[in-house]
Amino acid sequence: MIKPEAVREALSRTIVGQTEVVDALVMALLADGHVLLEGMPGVAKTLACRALAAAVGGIFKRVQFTPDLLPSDIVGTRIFDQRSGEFVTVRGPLFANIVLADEINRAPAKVQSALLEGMQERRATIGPDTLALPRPFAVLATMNPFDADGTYALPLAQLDRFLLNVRVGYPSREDERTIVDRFSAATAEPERDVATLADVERWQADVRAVHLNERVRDYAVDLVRATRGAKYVASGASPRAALALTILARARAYLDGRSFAVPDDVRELAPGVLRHRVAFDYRLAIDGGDGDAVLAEIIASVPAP
Amino acid sequence: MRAACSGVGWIRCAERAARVCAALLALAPLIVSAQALPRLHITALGLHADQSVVRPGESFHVTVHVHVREKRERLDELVLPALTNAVDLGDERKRVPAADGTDFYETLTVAANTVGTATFTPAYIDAIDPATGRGMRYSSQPLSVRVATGTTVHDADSGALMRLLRTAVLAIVTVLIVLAAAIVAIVRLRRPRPRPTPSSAPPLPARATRPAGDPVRAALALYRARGDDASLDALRNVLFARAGAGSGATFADALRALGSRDPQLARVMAVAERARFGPVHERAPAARDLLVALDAYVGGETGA
Repeated sequence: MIKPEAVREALSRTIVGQTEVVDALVMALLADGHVLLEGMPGVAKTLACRALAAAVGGIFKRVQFTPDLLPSDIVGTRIFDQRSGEFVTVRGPLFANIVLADEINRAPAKVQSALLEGMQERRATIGPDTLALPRPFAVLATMNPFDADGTYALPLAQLDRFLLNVRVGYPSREDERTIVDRFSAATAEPERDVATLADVERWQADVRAVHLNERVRDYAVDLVRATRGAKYVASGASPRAALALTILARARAYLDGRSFAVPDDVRELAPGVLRHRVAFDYRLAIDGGDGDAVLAEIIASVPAP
Repeated sequence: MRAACSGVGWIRCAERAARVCAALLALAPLIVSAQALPRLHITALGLHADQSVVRPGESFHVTVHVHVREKRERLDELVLPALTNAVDLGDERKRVPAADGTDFYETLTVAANTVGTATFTPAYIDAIDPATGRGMRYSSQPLSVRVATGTTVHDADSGALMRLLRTAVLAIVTVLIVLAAAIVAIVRLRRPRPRPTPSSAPPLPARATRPAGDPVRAALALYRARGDDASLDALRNVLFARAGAGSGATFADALRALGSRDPQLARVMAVAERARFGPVHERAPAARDLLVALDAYVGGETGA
């Protein structure tokens, strides 16, 4: 029986370094959630998403978000069938197992909301038809946080739909050397069909059955609550963050071969779960502070059980 | 008012009016863009060519037909198809009133450039569907017209036959390659793989004896006597403190603080995690494992 570890290994063989990104993608898949990847261009964000889709044998669609994108370009449209003389529904790229929304903040709000509605409801409406999205379904969105010209910032309510926000950094010197050696001669070809979509659905069911002790649950809740009213924080994380934290803790435990989650699962995942759900106030910018450092302080202030 | 608008007042009035007009003019595009989508019942949107095979340079006609239920004079919202491998020689618009609305025909006269395929992207209209009140894009199907070298359609068809044969041969070769790959994959999958052993414990190395009055022993005695969560928490804290981690630390903190100094303590802490946070049905065996591991751990003192 195939285990999610096989997918993680396949991704690691395709992507040099970036183990945190690989782990986050696999955990989000296990937790049946969506991921927001932030990082500079060229740090293997897209490759990681393609590799994940290839590894689980799913349908992969990529949408490059641009300012002129329309909701129908994502969700689908109605096309006139000349034989039947009627409009038929043509499904857009949202109808895939893994959807890569590249540079999500380059499209206007109405497009973002069409995508995020699909992410939340797991279905899409095209004209009179409401259609269920395929299972499993995951949106992996990328965003370049440094090149903000001509972008549309995602509101907190929309960011909240992402289970995890992963910062994709530059590779180490050693990894960068390996990248140059490996990919200067040939393009990266992800490993295909390491697992099946049925395997993924089974894993997702197994993850929901992973035991979560009430003290671990309370720790997750306390961490989320600690973000509210903390110094430099304008608005704290919502209860959805606690849900995300617990399901991801279960996924991490499952990936490590455990039948129960431990406080370490919660604490390790807390930055990625809280980063995009917390709004920092102006004082942080004035003091030249860093949001991640503030979050680290908040997390450290809550004693683990 | 008369006083206000006399003399200098008139000039001020005129300035104010000009400002208001300028503001309205500035707002006009916004108002227009907000209302840009028309409300239309679109019941047909077709794209046809009058020929399926053409020669390079030969002109032919591509017609976009739209039927709307509304009585409309114009349909400026219609976006015509983009052409590939063809050049637009001109177009003609025609409006035909119908009993159930209006038909619009936009006929493009085009000529193919080179041998291959002339393609036309879907024509479309962005409009508000009156039934749902939501903005929609209504599209036609895309269209492609074959551009053949032959002087007749018959020649073009024989070319098509050759292409079909080539495609069939290619398909057979592809199937054979896929079958071979599948066999290789099955053989590789059946090969036994090394299995990860996450819970396998490292062999217990010889340790130095522990000082008398060890807090681990006291916590163990309490846990053995009470066996509840509180005594287990106290035991974990003592173990973490022994590893060098402060209060409120996690297992990972304790392992980091411990390093490679005492692998047996690391194992005991791992068992304690399972006993404390494991599912109910695993907690009893985990508690027994913990007592055994702790006995072995503190036994170094008594056994020495």
